Amino acid sequence: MKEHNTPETLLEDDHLQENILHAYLDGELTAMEIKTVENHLETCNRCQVRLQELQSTFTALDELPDLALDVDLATPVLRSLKAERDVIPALPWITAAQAAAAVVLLALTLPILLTLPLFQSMKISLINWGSVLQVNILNMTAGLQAQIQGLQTFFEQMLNAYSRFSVPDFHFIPLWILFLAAALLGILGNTLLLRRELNL
Amino acid sequence: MAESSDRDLVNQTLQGDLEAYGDLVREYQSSVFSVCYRVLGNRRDAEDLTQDTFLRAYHHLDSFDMERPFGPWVRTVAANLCYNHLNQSRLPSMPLLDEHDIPKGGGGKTPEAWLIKNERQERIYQALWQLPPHHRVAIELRHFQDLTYQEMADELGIPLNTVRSHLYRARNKLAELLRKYEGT
Repeated sequence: MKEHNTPETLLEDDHLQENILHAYLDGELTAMEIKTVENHLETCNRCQVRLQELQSTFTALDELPDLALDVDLATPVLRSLKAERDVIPALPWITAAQAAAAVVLLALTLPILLTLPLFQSMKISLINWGSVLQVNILNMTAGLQAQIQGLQTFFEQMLNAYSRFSVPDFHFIPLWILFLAAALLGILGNTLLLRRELNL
Repeated sequence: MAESSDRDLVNQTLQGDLEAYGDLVREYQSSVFSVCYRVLGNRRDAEDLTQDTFLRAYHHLDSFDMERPFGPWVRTVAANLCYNHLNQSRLPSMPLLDEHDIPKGGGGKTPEAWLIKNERQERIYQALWQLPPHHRVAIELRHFQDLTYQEMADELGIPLNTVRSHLYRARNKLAELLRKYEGT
């Protein structure tokens, strides 16, 4: 017992508390507590009987032997571990290569994506959003003005830079669409692989 | 301190030698199986959880303290795994047996008879398996793995007083069932 009991707290109605008997047999009492318990046991028949009954349960449990397993579990365990070892180390290289290829393909497809009506309207919305944000924030603090303008300029420059890329001839558009599909598949595939590797 | 041969095998395993780990599995599979069997109460689950224990132990081998013996460590992993398994599967304790259903040991009456050598052992097993999972694990860790109350509390993540309470109730119930089975 980690808390130190006084001789009085070991007893309840002049007999040893049940949990004290358990702790005594479990070797969880301090030397002083053991002495108190043993002194009491010398003079108390009832507690001696209770202790013997408890000891008989301990003895019963001691009668259960370790069982001999008649099958070799090392084989299936090693098979599982080898399978894990063979799969996981190769994964990061494949994943990294695929991720890099997907990013390159996506970057290559951006010029044509930006010519599509959807992306044009997104560009306008983005710039408008920047303007509205700018006005709102300017009302709150003039100090942020330069940063917002910088952000807006950044958006415009980024989108204009991509827009200035020469869009390939019409005949090559299927190729760009193929790139886009490969990029999206690559990103999706890598996400799944990473999820599996990380057990997400 | 870990037996030097066990320590060598653990070191070799950590360096990537899976065959060394196979030797550790063969060395301790019976004692780990015994833990699982006492806690779970059937051979099939016990074998599955024994394998799971060695897989879990392998993945946590870098946290194994080389100054301590491998056997008690892996058996404690097993007890914890079985406890989680019972909690997750929410299996009830075995139904209480009537007096005329008192287990007959060693005679092939139960699927587990091959493991159990005599009637007395079978009665003790049956009494043990009537206990709820947390009481079974408390008995396992204290009586078979020789953990202190504090070590049990740390291992199970429960307060010290709860450990005492589990042991107290488990033993009292066990004594009651044994008296019933043995007709005393």
